[in-house]
Amino acid sequence: METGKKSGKGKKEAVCCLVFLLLLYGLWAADLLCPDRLYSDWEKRLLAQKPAPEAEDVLNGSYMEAYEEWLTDQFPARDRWIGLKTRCELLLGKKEIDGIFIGKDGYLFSESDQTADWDRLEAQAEEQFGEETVSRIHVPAAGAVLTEKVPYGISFSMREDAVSQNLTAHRAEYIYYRTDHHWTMLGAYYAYEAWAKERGLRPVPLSGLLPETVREDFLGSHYARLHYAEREDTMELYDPGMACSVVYDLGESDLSGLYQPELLTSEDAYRFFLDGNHGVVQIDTGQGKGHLAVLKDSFANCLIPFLSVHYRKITVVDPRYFRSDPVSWLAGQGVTEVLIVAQDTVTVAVTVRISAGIQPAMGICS
Amino acid sequence: MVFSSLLFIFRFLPAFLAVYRLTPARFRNQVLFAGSLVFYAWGEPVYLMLMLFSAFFDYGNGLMLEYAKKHRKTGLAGVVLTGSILVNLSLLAIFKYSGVLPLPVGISFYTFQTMSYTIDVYRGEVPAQRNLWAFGAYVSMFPQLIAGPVVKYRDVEAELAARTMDVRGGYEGIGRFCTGLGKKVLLANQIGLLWEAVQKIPPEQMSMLTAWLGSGAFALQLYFDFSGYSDMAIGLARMLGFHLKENFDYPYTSGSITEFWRRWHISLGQWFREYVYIPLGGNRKGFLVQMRNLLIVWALTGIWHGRGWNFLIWGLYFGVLLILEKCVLLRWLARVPRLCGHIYTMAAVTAGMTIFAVEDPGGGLRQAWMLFAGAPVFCNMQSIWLLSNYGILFFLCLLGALGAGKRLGKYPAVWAAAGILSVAYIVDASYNPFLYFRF
Repeated sequence: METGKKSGKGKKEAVCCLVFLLLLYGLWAADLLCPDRLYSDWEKRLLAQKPAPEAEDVLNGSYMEAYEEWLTDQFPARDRWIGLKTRCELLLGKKEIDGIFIGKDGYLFSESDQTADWDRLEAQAEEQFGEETVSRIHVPAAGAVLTEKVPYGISFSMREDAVSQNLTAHRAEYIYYRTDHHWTMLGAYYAYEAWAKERGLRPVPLSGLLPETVREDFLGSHYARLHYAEREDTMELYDPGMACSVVYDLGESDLSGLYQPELLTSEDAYRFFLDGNHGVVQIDTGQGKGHLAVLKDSFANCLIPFLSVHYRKITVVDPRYFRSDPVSWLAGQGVTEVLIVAQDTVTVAVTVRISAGIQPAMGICS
Repeated sequence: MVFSSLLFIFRFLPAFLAVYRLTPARFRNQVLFAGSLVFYAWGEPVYLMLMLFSAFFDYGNGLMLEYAKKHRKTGLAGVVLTGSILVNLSLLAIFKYSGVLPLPVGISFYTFQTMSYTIDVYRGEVPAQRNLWAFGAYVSMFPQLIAGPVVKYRDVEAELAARTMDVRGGYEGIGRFCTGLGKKVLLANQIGLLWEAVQKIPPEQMSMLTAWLGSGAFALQLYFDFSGYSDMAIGLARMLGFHLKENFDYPYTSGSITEFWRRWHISLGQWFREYVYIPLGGNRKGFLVQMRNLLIVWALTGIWHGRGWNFLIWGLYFGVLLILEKCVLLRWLARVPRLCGHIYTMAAVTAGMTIFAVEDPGGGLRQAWMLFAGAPVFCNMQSIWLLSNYGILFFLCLLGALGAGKRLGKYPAVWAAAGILSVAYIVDASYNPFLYFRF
C-alpha cells in the first residue's frame, strides 16, 4: 500500500522533471530550427543577427551583449509571447501597458510628440514665402479628441483651434483608428474641411465622396506594441477621384499613383496612402491653379488626396527623409503656398477632481 | 548572467544540466566550477580574475591555517586569519566602496563566504578543504553566486564531497526555481513599476495613499526580488544535489522588528551574528556593550548593501528600533494583540524601506515622512489612477507576502503557469517596436 503510494508520487515527480526538460530543450531546438529573420514587420526594425566571437569582443563583454540581443530578437513565436503578457496585464486591470492606454470600445491611445522641428520650419517658410501663404494643421492624437473613450482618471492635452474643434464636433464618427495612432481618412477630411474654410477655399462636400472599404482587418502600431486588440479596424478610402500623375523621390522610384493597393495586405497597411513616407512626392493634377508645398509627417498621407482638388501642383516633402534643407529647395520650385501637416505634442495628465468641476493636470503619469 | 533571462533559461541551464548529469559523480565539482566560471565570465569577463584570486587565496589560507594549528603555531594562525580578513575587506573597500571602479557582481557574497571559511577553519569548526575543485565549486557555485544566500562553508561541506542528483531533487528544484522566477519577473518587476511611477510625482501632488502605495510597492518589490532570487538559488542548487538553507521566512508576517530580522535575509543576519556580534561580546558583557554591539552590527549590515549614505542610515534606523524593542517595546507588544505588533512592524518596515530606496537620504526621509503626516491630502485622483492600474497586483503581492499563497507553491500547475508567464514577460521586456519614431 505504502510503496504503491510512493511510486505514484515518484511517477508524478518524474513526469514533472520530464516536462520541464522537454520545454527547455524543445524551445532551444525550436530556436535552432526557426530560420533567423532579418526584419520585424510589426516592430518596423532590423533584428539582431548572430554575432561572430572575436577575442577582443569577448574580453570586453560586447560579444555577450550582442549574443543575448540576437537570442531575444530571434526567440520563437515572439509575438505570441507578447500577446500573452498583454492579456495577463489586462486581467490585472492595467489601463496603461508599455505606454499604450487601454480605452473604451476597443480604442488604444498613446501620447504623441513632435516628429520634427516644425515650428522652425514654419518660421523659415514664412520668411521665405511670406506669412500669408503659410498655414499649418496641428494633428491632435486620438486621445485628445475622443475624450469619451479615454480611460477614467486621465485626460490628454488639447490645442484649441479650428481643426481640433471640427474633429471634436465629429468625435462620434469613425475618425481615428482603434489600433493605430493615425486618423482615418474621414478624420483627415474633417481637418481638411476646417482648414479649407479658414483659407477661403470651398471644401469638397463629404456627400460627394463615396467611402470604399479597402481593408477590413487592419491592425496598426498600437496593436504592434501589445499584440492585442479588442476589435480590428476598417480602412476606408474617400477618394475625391482626381486623376493625378504622381512622381516619387524625383523619379528615383518606380511607384506611381496616390494609393498603393498592393500594400493593403501587408502588416503596414497605412502605407496604402502615398506609400508611407518618402522624401519628396510630386503630384500633378493638370487642373486648377497654384502650386502647394506640403511639409508633413505621415498624418498628411491620407489628407493629401483632398488637396489635389484645389491645386494644379502639389509638392510633398517629408523633412525627415529629405537630404537637404526643404525650405530652400522649395524656394526654387515655384511654390505659391505652403501647408504644414504634422502631429501635435499631446501629453497625458491625471485629472484631479476637487468637489465641483474637473481640474486638469496633476502631473504626468506615465 | 542573470537567472531571469532567455540566455540562462534556454541555453545555459539546459546545457549545464546535461553536462553535469552525464559526468560521473566524482568529477561533478570540476563541472560545477567550470560552469560557474562561464556563468560569471559571461557578464564580467575581467572580474573573473578577481573571483579566482579570492578563491585560490583563501584555499591557500585554509591549508596554512590547518598546518599552523597542527604544529601549534598560534601566532602564524593569527597572522594568516588576519591577512585573509584584511585582504577580503580590502577587496570590498576597493571595489565596492571606493566608487571608482564598477562593482564586480557577487563580490559581497563570495568575500563573505570565503571569510566564513577561514574563520571556521581557524576556530577548528571545520577541517580545511584539500580539494581545490571542491573549494572552487563552493566559492563560485553559480546558483548563489550573484545574489546569495550567503552559504557558510560548513553547511555544504558534506555535500561538496558527496551528493546525489535524483528525480526528487529535480522535482523540488524545478518547483522552487519556477516559483522564484515568477516572484522576480511577475511580481517584483511589475510592482516595481508602481514605485517608479510614484517617485516621479512631485511632493506637492502627493497624497498619503499614493505615498503608501509607492513605499508599499517598493517594500514588496524588494521582498519578492530578493526572496525570488533566493528561491531560484535554492531550487537550482537542489537540482544539482545541494540542500541550501532557507533565506526568507515570510518576514512580512512578523509581529516585531526583532522577529522581522530573524525572517529576512536570514543567511546574512546569521553571518553578522556569528562573526561580528558574538565575537564582540554579544549580550554577555552588560547592557551598554550589547547596545554598542547592536549598533556596530546594524551599521555594518547597512553599508553591506551599498556605499550610499541611505544604506547606513537604513541600517542604523533598524539598529535603533531593535534597541528600543529590547528595552521596552517587546514587553509592551507581548501585552497587546499580535495584530497591533504586526501593524507597527509593517509601518516601521515600510518607512525603513523607503529610506533604503532613495539614494539621497534627505529625499528618502522626506518620502517616508509623507507616509505619516507630510502629504497635503489623503487621496486624490492620482491615487485612484494608480490604484486602478496596480490595485489588483498590489493586493496579490500583499497576499503572497503575508503567506496566503504558501500552499499554492506546492502545485506543479502553478509552477508551470509561473514559468510560462515569466518567459512571456521576459520576452516582452526585450520587445522594442519603433513606436516613437512615428511612421
